[in-house]
Amino acid sequence: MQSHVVREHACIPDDQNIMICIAMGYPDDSFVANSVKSVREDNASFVRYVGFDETEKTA
Amino acid sequence: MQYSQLIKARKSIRGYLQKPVPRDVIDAIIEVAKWAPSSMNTQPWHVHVVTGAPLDRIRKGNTDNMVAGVPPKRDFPMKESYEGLHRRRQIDVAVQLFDAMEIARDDKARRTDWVMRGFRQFDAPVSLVLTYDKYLEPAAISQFDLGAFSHAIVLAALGTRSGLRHQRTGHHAVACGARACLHSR
Repeated sequence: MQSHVVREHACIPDDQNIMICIAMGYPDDSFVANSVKSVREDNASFVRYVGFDETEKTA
Repeated sequence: MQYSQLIKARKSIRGYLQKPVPRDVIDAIIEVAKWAPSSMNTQPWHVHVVTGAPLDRIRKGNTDNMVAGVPPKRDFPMKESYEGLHRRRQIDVAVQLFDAMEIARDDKARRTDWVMRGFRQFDAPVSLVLTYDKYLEPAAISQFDLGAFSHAIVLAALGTRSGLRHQRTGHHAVACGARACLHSR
């Protein structure tokens, strides 16, 4: 992003910061990159559970 | 569509039909998305919905700046590059995209063209510029809130697929791009 370009042409007030621009429209299904689906990691690689064993013991 | 289906069905759209999105469709999407949570219900977002000539001027301005070698500029500090696992994931999805587009590693012209598409916001007919008030800086919490709002917008847009309006008009679902900034580096 060139935030000063967006600011100028979209007339963004000086007292606001631009976070993001979200493109929106109807998808062109013939555009092959639109078929790309990104992947996700297994929960085990980024999740840890704390205190659950104790709960099970006291239950 | 169930929420679990909707969230898994969402994907980044990088090619759009040259067909305008009616203002009432966009307004209905925002009407839903604004129910996203925010810190202390501050709802710190503003949405500037841009189309037509002003959006074309943004595309041209972004392109001209990039061609002239002006580094991308943001309104807040941001990490220049990802490392380690994050970098690997960034590369993995780029490989998926280049494979799909059949862009070879050494094809500099097409790789550059691909990057420039991002700066043109994928030639989408509409751009939603999300902002927050400057006085909120350091604004990590408000930026977090705008993230939740962004996700709500893209899901609400995708959800229009099953809406009455869609069935009546025969429109495709409204879809949202990869957020343009992610492709601007």
